[in-house]
Amino acid sequence: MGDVVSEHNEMWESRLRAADSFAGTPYEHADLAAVLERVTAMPRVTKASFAQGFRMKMASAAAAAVLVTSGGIAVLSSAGSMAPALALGAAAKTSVTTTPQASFVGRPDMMLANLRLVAGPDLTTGTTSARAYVFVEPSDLAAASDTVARALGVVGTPSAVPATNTSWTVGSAESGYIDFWSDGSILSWSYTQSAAGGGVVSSPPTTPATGATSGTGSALSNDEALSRAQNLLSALGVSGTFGDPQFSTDQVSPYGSSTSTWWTTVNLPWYVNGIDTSNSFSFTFDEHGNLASANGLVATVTDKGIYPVVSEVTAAQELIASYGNFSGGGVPSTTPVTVVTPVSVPTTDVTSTTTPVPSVGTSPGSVGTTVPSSVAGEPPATTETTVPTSDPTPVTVETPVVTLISATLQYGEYTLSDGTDALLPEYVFTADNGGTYTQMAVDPHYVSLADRPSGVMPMAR
Amino acid sequence: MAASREQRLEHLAREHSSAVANYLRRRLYPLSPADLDDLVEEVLVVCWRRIDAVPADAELPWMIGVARNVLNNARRSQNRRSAFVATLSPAEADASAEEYVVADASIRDALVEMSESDREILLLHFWDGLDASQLATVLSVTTNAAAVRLSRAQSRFKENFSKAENA
Repeated sequence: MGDVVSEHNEMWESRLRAADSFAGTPYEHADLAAVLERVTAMPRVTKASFAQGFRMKMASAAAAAVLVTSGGIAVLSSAGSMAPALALGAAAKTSVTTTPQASFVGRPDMMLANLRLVAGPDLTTGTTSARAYVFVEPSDLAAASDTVARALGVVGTPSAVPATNTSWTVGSAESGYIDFWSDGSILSWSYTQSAAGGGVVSSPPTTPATGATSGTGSALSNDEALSRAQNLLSALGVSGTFGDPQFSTDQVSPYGSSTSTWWTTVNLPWYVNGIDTSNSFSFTFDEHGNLASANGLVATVTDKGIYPVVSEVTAAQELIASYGNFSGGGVPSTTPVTVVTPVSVPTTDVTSTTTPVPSVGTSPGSVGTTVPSSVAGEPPATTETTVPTSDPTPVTVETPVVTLISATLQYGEYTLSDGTDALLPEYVFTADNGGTYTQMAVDPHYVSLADRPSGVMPMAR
Repeated sequence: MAASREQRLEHLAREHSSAVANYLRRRLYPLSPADLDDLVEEVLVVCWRRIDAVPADAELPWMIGVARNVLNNARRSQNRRSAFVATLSPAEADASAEEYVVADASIRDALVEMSESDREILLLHFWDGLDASQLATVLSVTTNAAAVRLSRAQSRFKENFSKAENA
């Protein structure tokens, strides 16, 4: 019996290890020497900076202006109900957006791999229009980071505040660190006590305590965490509104500590003019109400006017085409679109318009679109693919076929070819496997997106 | 004579970049070589800034902890910069990517059934090769807590695996 159990254990362990697609995969940076030279030229954070205090210069007037993060929106959003000149980006080429994203959030540590998408028969062919917005980062990065540091109670000389896009750190081991990333459009920040994410710091001085301040051996309540988060948002000067808060709790021990504490995290989606900006602010507090970690951003959101929106069917086509291109690895291919010409577009705002259209499934040819034949009611097909595993014997598996069954229009964040981050309408397709897939919805002739996901994350340059 | 900070960073880069890179590409897939290089560089930037804080006896887990923070920061924005990071909160029953990338159906199904935190610690152990002490560094918990979490995650996985095998 023991042997059977042992064999069973060996089996699942070995099979789990074998399921690692990257086991033993070698990696060598394309130019490590250049990276090391570049990185070591950057300033380091030293304890001395704590003793020196926080000395960063700031233009106080400018700081006050830029940190009212979305104060200009109310005026801007009322400008122009007709289509403005629509070339968001100056580049002549466009990657046709294709940002296929399986809806594995909540499970972000997941990987995508081969699957075959098909459009279902209920997707519509109506076109419409919608507003587009862009993020504008503070003009005075030093002042902006100073304000964030003050709000979070962090002291320390910044490692660098560059004139151009890059990243820098403010803080000290005693008060914690804030990493900043500027991409020319959004200033992102992330507060931690240590690089590995552990540690607890004292409560920000600008934040009145609203919850328990003595250890209770239990997590801070959600209400207390929310109240503290709201105080911090006020100190940060964040305007706009916030979506439903999401809470989580965990019992942790800071690195190097033998004592444990409860952490309560509150995540607040950030809305501007009622639109989900795709960004959020997150704050984690220990059981005493002290801030343990946090992240957020500084930017304004500017209305760029109304843009034409393609139909669900057209967007699905683009999604399917691009998904096929990157299935199996690599990055989405790009499709040049050379026309960037202002034209007349519907003036009705998409948020109040829905256009009933024929079902693709019942009349796929009548709408002038090219939809894979599988959309017209064909039973889902599967294809077979041989995939490598750590076992030398190839394993043949079916490529799942996923049908896009419905779509809703919302806003999502995209990077334009000039590096600007924009909020653009996008379709969220719900698939028959329960997943969702996202496709930018603005007519690609009017938008010039970055030709690849621009760096996957804030980059230090 | 102690190595200079520059030498230490080079050591960290040469010794651990592969493990960090694999950690990253397991969690953002597919990832172009250029994007992967950028991510690794970002981790090295943080290492350099805090080079004096990198524990000599826990370099790799410390660096993976940095990579984990870097990824978490990127995920703060739902769509931002990454075409591959998921966007919307799915229902619990929603499909997981393992359904598509793990050829072993039983392993795949067992992983899908796990919570995010269980799956994270399990894969950090079995795929990234971290032991309980290293997991503690990455997750900012005590070694004992990491071991307990891992044990529980293994138990849940085994239970799911058995169900999948017998389905």
